[in-house]
Amino acid sequence: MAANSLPDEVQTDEAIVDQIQQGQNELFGKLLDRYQPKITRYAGRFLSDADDRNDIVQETFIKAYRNIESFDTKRKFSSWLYRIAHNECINFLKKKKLEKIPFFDLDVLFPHISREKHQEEVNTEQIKEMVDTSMGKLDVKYREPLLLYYIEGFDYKEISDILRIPVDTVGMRLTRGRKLLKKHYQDSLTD
Amino acid sequence: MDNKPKNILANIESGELKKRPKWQFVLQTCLIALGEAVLFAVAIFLISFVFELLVSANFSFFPHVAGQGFGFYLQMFPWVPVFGGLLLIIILGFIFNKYSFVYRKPLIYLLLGIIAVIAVATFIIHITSFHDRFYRYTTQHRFPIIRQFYGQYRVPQK
Repeated sequence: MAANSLPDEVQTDEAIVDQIQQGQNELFGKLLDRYQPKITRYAGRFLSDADDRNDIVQETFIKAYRNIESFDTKRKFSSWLYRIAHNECINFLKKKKLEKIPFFDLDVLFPHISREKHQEEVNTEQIKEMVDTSMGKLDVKYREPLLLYYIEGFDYKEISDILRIPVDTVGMRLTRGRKLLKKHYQDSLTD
Repeated sequence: MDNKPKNILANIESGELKKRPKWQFVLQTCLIALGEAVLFAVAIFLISFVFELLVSANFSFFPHVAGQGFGFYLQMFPWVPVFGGLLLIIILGFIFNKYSFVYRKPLIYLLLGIIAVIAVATFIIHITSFHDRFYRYTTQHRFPIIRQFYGQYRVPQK
């Protein structure tokens, strides 16, 4: 069966991109339908203003379309698209000086051995709730991995691809981010 | 929900929003690779040059060997190629960090890798007397910048 005759929900993102690369440009609408709500939600974690958020989403999809010929369909489209969205959000925050974004972080320099070994101890639902309520109090460097892991459902390697940081550093930031998140959450409960 | 993405589709259909052709990305990749190779070559050139200078001076830039004090050491040491080489290593670190096989590992591995490659290249350059021959070549031909660069320091002798 040809890929373009498959039902929408069965076709992978990468198969759709492959067809767009072959000239079926109208299929970009399928990717818009799939990812517009997700990218809007993702951008909403950085930008409270709806207009700013919509501009970022718009720019993300425009850049994705313009550069779609550079996408390697052997890789994961969602990671590629979120990488563009990440860059757009970070550049916007830097430009508007809304948050402090360091140019370089030392935690990408050395290996970390504190990878999550006790995943089962982490109550995912509880973390998701905390992410919803206390995420805004965290630095971007901790907020983003938590968001990508718990809300967007990416794994360590995919987050590493989106943020372009070592896989070990993703684990370390998730561990520290969770600790900070719990602290902020408990503080908010006692206030 | 915002209607902007609908505008994107309309712009695609009208041809207002176009895909960049594949050849542009291929060309861009080739130019970036060329730029990286040039930067790497310059870093190797500078570091190996410093090494060659130190060897040709029997490491007498160092005060405990020369016995002429720290001031002499500061004055004679080839700071420009040293800092130039180090700066290029850092720049290369940032440039190479866009490749997935690089950024997935801690940055220190990349820096150590670059230093190891430069060290091996420096050793090969040393045993082949490259700088000595290249200096002679630049004096015979018109390479004003490189000749001037060599002229600022002692000429490596093998």
